[in-house]
Amino acid sequence: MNYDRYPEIKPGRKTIKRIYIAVMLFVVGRAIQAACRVDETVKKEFKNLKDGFAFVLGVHPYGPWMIVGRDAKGRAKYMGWNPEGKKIPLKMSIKNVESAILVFTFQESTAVAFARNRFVVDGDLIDALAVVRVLDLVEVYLLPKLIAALAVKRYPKWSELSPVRKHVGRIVIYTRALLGF
Amino acid sequence: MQSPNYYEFLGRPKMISGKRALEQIPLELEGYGAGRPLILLQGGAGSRGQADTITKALYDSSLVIGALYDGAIAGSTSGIASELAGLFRARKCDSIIAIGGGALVDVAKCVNMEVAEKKPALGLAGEGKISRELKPMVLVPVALVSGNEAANRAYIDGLACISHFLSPDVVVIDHRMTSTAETRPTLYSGLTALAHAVEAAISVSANPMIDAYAYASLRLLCEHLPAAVKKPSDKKSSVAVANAAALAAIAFSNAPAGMAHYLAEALADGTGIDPGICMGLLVRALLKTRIVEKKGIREELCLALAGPGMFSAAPASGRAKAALGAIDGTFADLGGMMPGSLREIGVTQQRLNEAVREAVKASPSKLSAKECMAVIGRAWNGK
Repeated sequence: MNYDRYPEIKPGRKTIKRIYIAVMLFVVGRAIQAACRVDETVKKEFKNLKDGFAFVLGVHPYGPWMIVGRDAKGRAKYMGWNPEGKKIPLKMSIKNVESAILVFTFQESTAVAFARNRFVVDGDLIDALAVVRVLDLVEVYLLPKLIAALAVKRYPKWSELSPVRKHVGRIVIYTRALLGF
Repeated sequence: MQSPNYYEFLGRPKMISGKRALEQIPLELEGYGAGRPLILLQGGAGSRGQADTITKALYDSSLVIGALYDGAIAGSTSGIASELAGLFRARKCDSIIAIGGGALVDVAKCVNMEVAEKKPALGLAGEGKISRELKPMVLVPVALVSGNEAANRAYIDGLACISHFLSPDVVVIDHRMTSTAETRPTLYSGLTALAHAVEAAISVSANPMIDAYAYASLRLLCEHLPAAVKKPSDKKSSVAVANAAALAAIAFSNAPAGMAHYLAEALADGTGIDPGICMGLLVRALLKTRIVEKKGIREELCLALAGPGMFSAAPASGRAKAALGAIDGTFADLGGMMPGSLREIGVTQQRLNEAVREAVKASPSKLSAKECMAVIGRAWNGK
């Protein structure tokens, strides 16, 4: 057998999909920071987390990543995309780019992706579940109902999140996310 | 369900099935400390597409493909196994990904034996000759025609190697591969799985775990095999049949091979007919014989074959017949693809005696020649 007929192959990269995920992570990261200042539930979730808490969410093994932490006042803070050199107690990686695409194109909700083992969680699982709850709420604010209903475990009822609160919150969160405060 | 006094069961391999399942391979191999697989796939018309699919599925991972072999593999021989073991070593591979079924998977397992045990695979033929865990192996089924692919056995030069270490570590079922199967391999794969699941469930080793695997396998087959055979490119049914085949193989790994298996192999050896077709006809004849001889069929198996609706509608005394009716119904749904008897596929009456002799000789569990003759005779007549 001529072994040279069967050379080593270095798999390539899915650049366009990675750029899409990076943009989504950037928007969601900044939106979490904004939602923490607008929505009481998100605020409460972050208040309950430990001091110095931060989490990184991204795609294994080469990213992209998004880091969100809790500041001294108990509010969420978007801390960029590079986890190197940062002390991060919770790492949530999606196993591969294709699984991340399923999540970020809302073909699979975060809860379903968790149930299907598409995430690897390194850290406290209770904190990870708090993060999933926050992500669900942020998606409700960011996305129209038709899409958000696919992305979240259960779309909130009127009594839980009134349309006025939702739409006003959406405008404020988008403005804050775009301006970064 | 009777509580067993004692049983053992090994639930291997890990199964990953569904949307984007192929993309999970790098992380699975990473878990075994491997990152440089040798990929084997059957050369031929569809191999270019399969090679592209698997390569793209491994994008954006830390894994490097040591080599991708897509040459033709006609049978599992020591020659091809040694050559591929040489390729494995030359490329410093640390794991194997086998894409396909049948002889290709046998060869992949033999390569694994050679590189892990550092001796020719032929010397490891027999039962329990492998002393250690082999290199991590991932099986990506297209059509599991032999029924051994996801099980604890491999064939080399016609000899069987049996060891729990031969079960693949991970089976990854993805429609991008299963829907490339052709009609006949899909049918053979389904019938082999049906026979293996039924025989495991009626074997002396039957236990609640075997029942669970056999139940899942048989329900999937009864509900999806006809659709998969009519349209092998159908994503849902091709994945269902591949799942059924893998589940049946796990049950089969934990039970001794039965009468239908040995008779089918003996018939196939002499006639060149695919053993899958023979197994399908023989297992139906085996169940019919049990009903005629009033030996009965276990309730758990009746439920698996008939399905909850038909099972609960039938009186307790008629459940075995309902189960048999379900198999007949599935075979009827297969249409012209499924022959009615061994006679129809060219097996001569003279060949039956020889097949029984060979099956009795091959089986370690001392099959009764009289029982074998009754079953094969019924399968030959198709009554």
